[in-house]
Amino acid sequence: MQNMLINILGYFSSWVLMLVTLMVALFAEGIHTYLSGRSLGRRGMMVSLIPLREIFRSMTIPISLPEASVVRLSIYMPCFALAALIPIAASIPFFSFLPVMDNGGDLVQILQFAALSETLAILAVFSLGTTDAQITAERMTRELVRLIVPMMAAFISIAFYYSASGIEGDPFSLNVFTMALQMSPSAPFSFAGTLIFIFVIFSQIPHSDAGFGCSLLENCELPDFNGAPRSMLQLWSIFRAFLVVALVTHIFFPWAYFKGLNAGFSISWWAQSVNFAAFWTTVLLIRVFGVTLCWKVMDILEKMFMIKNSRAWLCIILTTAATLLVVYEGIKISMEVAAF
Amino acid sequence: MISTLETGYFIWNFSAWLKIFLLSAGVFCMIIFIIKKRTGGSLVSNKLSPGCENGLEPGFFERKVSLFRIRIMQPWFDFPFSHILSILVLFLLFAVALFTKSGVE
Repeated sequence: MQNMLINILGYFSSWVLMLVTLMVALFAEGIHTYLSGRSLGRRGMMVSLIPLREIFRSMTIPISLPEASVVRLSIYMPCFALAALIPIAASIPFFSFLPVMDNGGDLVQILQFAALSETLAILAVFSLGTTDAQITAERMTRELVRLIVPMMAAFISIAFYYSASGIEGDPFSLNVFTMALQMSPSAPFSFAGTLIFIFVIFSQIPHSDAGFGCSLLENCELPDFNGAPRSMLQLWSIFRAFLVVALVTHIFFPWAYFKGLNAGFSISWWAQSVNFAAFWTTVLLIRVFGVTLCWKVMDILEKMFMIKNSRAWLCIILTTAATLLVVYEGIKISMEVAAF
Repeated sequence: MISTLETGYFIWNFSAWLKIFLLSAGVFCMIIFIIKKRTGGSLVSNKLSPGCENGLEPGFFERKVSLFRIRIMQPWFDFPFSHILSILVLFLLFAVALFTKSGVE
């Protein structure tokens, strides 16, 4: 009984810590929308409302739904979508100081929860039952495919590369991915492939071009859907974007310079604090500047290719090129090992 | 209860994931429920076909099933993407099979 209480307490406190850490996402989003609002304002476009303020304001107003909606699904499905993101946060060690997941997250399972979360959010939008909602849901599905395919390709091909180069343990474990540190300039093909993967994943994070950052719905979108469920979906979209950034940053963060990762509580508190601060500062900077840069570069590339669906084609071509590069390096290494 | 699945390559801790998911879902639903209680009253209800033509009202369960079928399932089947999603699922299964070496001695 006492053990169970302690367990529940542990889970609850780490859960609260995770939510607190997720506030960094809101901070990053605030900075991003402020900066993009300024640059849009200079170009004569008016960004009248700060999206974050709007999200929290609509938490307090009465819930309204379109007449055709399936009421219970529309109200509660966003909660489940948001909840499915929390296990992903739990698998990244710095979201909470308590070790929630024993062996670190498994990347395939992380992707499964990401797909579950997206599906629940799409169902929530579909359940509104209007034509506009259907258009939004179809857009969300396209965005889901564009984001999750490069991530799957990246994880699987890099895992193949790791297993070819003789890594110990589960190659899909986040800990193995993080600590392997085999992506170095001495293996140029896999290094180039990894960089292309990072670019594709960041550039495919769903976002608005009208200064609304990573919010799911713009101001004029689905106006008859309002109140707390709408805020939940907006928060879900912001947290999803932030989790993708945090996950990719965690995998490719130069941990060699920050000793003591995953050493538990045996390392000194100040080393943990330095790690914590360095990691979240990096995530914040990458979210605000790196991801925006990837979006801009992708826009420029898209304009250069004057073909229909140029974004989708670019995504496919770059993902394939990156996969081939990483797998080629893996095959090269395994052939060298065999020859030896 | 088996809470951890180890298959050589994969180590999945199901119970930890499930606990966190259910705890989060419970708390978020409770928040929405409280907000609805406090601010509610203006919810638009879905009064679909109040009183059918023949006076034969479909039962509660029938209505829910048809709602689910029309509003939730049908749009997915109508998607031009359904085949891409199927390919994605197959790709995932392929990756799992490849890395768990199922059938390979």
